[in-house]
Amino acid sequence: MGPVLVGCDGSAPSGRAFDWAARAADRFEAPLHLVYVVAPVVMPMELTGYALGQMVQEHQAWAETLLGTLREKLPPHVAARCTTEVRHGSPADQLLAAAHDKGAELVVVGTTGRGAAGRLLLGSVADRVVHLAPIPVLVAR
Amino acid sequence: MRWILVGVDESEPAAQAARFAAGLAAGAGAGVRLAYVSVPNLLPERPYAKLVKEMAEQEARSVQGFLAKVAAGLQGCPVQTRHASGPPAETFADLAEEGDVWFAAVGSRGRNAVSRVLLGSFADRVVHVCRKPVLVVR
Repeated sequence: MGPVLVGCDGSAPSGRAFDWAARAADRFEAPLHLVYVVAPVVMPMELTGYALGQMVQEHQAWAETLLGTLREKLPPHVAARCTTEVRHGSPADQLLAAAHDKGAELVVVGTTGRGAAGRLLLGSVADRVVHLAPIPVLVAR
Repeated sequence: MRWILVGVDESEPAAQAARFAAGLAAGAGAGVRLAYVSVPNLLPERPYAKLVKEMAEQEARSVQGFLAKVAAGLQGCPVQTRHASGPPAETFADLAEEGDVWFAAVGSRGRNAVSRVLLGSFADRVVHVCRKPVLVVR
């Protein structure tokens, strides 16, 4: 089976997505690709004293650490075929672009699951990915 | 035993989802539970009780035949079938609440698909309301 791609952002739902993706990659002897997307920072112009470029760099470094930590949690034979990537831009679109670039055969996404609006349990990233992905998508819960 | 609950109708994407799920189930020592949801007709019970009952019975027979046919085409894992009626996505999500359901799987589009639509309304609603993980098969 082709690569399994999972979106990771350090949240609890994305942790569950990671667990599902890791099991799928293990079971189907597939490569596992961990992707973190650094979303554009939106800040009021009046806020000064923050170096945007530096924030993005720090964010990127934190993301790389997170992905490295996740990779270390994997069983060695899965970790051996696990790759990681930090991308920048719209999270859903970048996950889809990464899936395309990797030739992924399955995308796993977490969902906010806050259920604030009654039974509406899907986050906007997962929603966009399930709508636009040309390959199977597992919405982990 | 864990079951993958697959929503099926008479469409090709649904059949594809069932085959995909059967492959996953076979590799994972799980089974496939095919679920078909009929939409209840809107005739009032009172004057049409007999007709409503007959239509429901006919629908049940026809769905059982259909599910048996889909089940016969799947290989490598145990297969169960379920037939329920109600609002499709919500009823399917309720079936997924059963404790032995591992996760749910649906085709990305159903029998009323418009080709330019990438995700049908049933799949869309299921990923929104289902509390179990949902696999959208393409």
